[in-house]
Amino acid sequence: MRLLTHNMLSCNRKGVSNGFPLGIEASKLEVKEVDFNSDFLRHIYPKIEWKAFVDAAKSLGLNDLPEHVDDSMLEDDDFLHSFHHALLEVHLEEGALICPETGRRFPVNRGIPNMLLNEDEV
Amino acid sequence: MSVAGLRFSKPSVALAAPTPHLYVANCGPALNLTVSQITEAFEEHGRVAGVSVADDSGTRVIVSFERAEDAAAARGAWNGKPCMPLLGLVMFIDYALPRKTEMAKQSEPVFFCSLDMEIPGIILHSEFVSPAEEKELLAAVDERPWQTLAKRKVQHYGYEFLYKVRNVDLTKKLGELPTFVDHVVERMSALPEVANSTEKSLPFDQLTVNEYPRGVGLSPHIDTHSAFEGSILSLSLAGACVMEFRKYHKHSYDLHTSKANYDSRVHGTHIMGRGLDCEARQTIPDLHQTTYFSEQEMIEPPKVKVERRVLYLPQRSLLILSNEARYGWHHYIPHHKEDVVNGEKVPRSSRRVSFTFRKVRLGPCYCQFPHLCDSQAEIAEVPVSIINAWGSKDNDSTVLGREYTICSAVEDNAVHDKIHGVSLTVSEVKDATTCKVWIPATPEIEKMYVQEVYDAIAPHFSSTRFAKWPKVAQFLHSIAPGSIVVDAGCGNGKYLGLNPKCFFVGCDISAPLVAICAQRGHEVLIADALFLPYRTGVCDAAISIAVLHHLSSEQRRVRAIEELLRVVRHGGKVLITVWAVEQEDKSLLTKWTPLTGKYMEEWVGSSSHKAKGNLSENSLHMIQEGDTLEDKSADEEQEFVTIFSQKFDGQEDSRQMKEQQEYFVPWHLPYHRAEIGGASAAAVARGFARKDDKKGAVVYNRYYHVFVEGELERLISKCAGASVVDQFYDKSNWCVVIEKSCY
Repeated sequence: MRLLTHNMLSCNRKGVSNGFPLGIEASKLEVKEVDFNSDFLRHIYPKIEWKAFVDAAKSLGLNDLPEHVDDSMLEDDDFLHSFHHALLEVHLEEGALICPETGRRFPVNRGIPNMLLNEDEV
Repeated sequence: MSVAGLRFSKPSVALAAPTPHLYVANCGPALNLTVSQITEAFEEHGRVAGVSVADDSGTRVIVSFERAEDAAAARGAWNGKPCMPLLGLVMFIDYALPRKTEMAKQSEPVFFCSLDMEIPGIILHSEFVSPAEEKELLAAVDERPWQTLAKRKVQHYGYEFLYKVRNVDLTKKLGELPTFVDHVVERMSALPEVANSTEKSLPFDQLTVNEYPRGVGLSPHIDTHSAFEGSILSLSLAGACVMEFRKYHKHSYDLHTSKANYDSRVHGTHIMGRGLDCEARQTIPDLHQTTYFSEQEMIEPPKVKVERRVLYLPQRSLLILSNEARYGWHHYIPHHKEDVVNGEKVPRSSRRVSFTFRKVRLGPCYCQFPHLCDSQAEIAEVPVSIINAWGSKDNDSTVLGREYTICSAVEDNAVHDKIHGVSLTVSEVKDATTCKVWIPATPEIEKMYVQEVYDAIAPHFSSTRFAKWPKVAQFLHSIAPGSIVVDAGCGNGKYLGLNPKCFFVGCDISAPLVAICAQRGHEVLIADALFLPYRTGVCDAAISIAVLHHLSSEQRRVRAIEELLRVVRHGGKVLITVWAVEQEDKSLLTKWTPLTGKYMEEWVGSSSHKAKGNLSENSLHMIQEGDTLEDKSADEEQEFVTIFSQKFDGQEDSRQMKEQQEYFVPWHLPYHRAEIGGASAAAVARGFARKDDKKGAVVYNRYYHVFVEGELERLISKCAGASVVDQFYDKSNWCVVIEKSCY
């Protein structure tokens, strides 16, 4: 699971009013190289919840992303490379995602989050 | 005796010159002969230095004389001829040549703590049972009959482990686990690593008790992947031993190519023992043993790069193997009378009894060690690259509703589709906006005839799902670069990544299918199409291809559409396709089993699960599935029946069946597929699938609600904020593109 996906995920358990962003418990990460594409990054950037993204990156030990971004930085190559790496190349392979409201854990195994809810959670 | 502790095997090339050692086939403990009987018989020809078993078969021994000429005399007298002192047995006798190997001593350090092993998935609990409990457990098994293998004795509970096929027969359940293990099972089940493991280990339903006499070990093996799931737990009672774990490096030991070489040159201990008392799908020659090889073999010893870690298993300890330790490492107990533990000799006790608890697996294994996995052996034969290439090249052959298959074989497989949806509600809620009140139960019909079926057939299903429908491709290519696309019910992921300028995230309720997507490098997660785990408005487009027709109530179908609309942004588009009642090939419908009100009533009815009369053979099989709804309240059942009855009212007697929309659609899983195994046998046994010998396939039924013209639009009209921007019928499917309004 990439951080881009993490930025999309939310806990939909019954009674949860704000299940975003999910906390991350990481026991195994993998880095898989992806071709750098600055256009893609500029397109995707407005869809990212930046604070959640930076916090998630930090929880995985990726500390070189700025807390705040403005559009001008999208022309800065160094920034784009850091963004690219954290967004697309780092994968959570083993661990869990944690609902911020209830603490419900969603396991991540072999890179696959299991977001299924139990019958009493829907 | 000079040969004590050594092990022997037949040389691969018969030696011309006599040696004092004879390899004697058709002789040994399995033929009810004792060492002293054999010694006494051979002493007729001279002084015998020792007799030992040649391998685990129990039918081959090594007889070592003090002098080579005596060995020659014995061979001359009895090779291929009846041996009167041994009850007229005809033995086959060759000379054997000794060869020293590097390993007479234990060179590996022995660990006492599982953490030091640095193998993910190994946990050792010392003193897991008390001495009193140990005594009780041993007394309980000693009161019960043992099955005798060549060198050790076993008892099976739950399911018998069949050594010949190295698997269990799911159709032959022996019963529940015995009550004398209840307290141990309870304690094991409460262990956090067991209770919280992501791969289900509970409830344990198979127990093998092994009694190892002193000097007997266990050949290196991995428990057959497809036989058991989750963790394997083993209790050591009455004695201790060391257990060695071995990882054979993939490139240094290629099972598919080198195994034959080993088979041909190592006529040895473990190859011959394989299948007899070794719970493994492949067996690796035991490098620790001193073996007898031909002279030729002495020049070229087998080269295997192997990592070893040795763990000491104390008496009363519990060993837990999961993940990599369970799937990727061979485990092995040396056939020694004493273990060398960090330089110190530790004699084995007169016997060691292990209790091994496992959970039988109902579907194929999807571990990360496909080269060691019997479930995945066949999947690997269809490289993804080929599937992809066919898909892109062959768009003309794509027919939604009936895509052409790679493995041809079975006609109805050409009927396409995927899986989906899940949890359900059985009550009819009139106003879709009040749908938040969900009755927390997935309809049994979807659990069994959608989810379970796809889990069982996933690899085969996937191998037939590669052609990409041009209309879907066209939709995906129309999406702006840098868009996020959600595929809700992605099946084997054939549409993921179709537009390389977009970011795709797929999800499906079927973990096996999601695993296939992940192996192909797609970004996927396991989720229910009715409860998408995404924040609202997060994506630019969403697709739902052949999903809604697997949902068993209108409310659920509406809910799935609402979820798609929820996750796209305002102005974002959603493509939905479903099977149409109006099939282009009308003859297809005749191959489906219509679900009638009467059928549902009988199937769901609380008083009788038994088949009554006029139903098709298929249906009968399924009705026999007894306890499908036992955990539902009577009210829920009644409601469920009512819904279906209403839907089918007035159709039951109609021979036209014009409005029939509920069907079972068959899926033929050919006998040669890897997924045919325990799970399919079990499915057949409980009437959930049936065998069709003519077609050479196990037939599963999938539940479908096929859509009539205008139905999809009607459902969409119930959803707030959706406007239909395109709708069409193509290749037996109803399709719509909807846009989320910018309100």
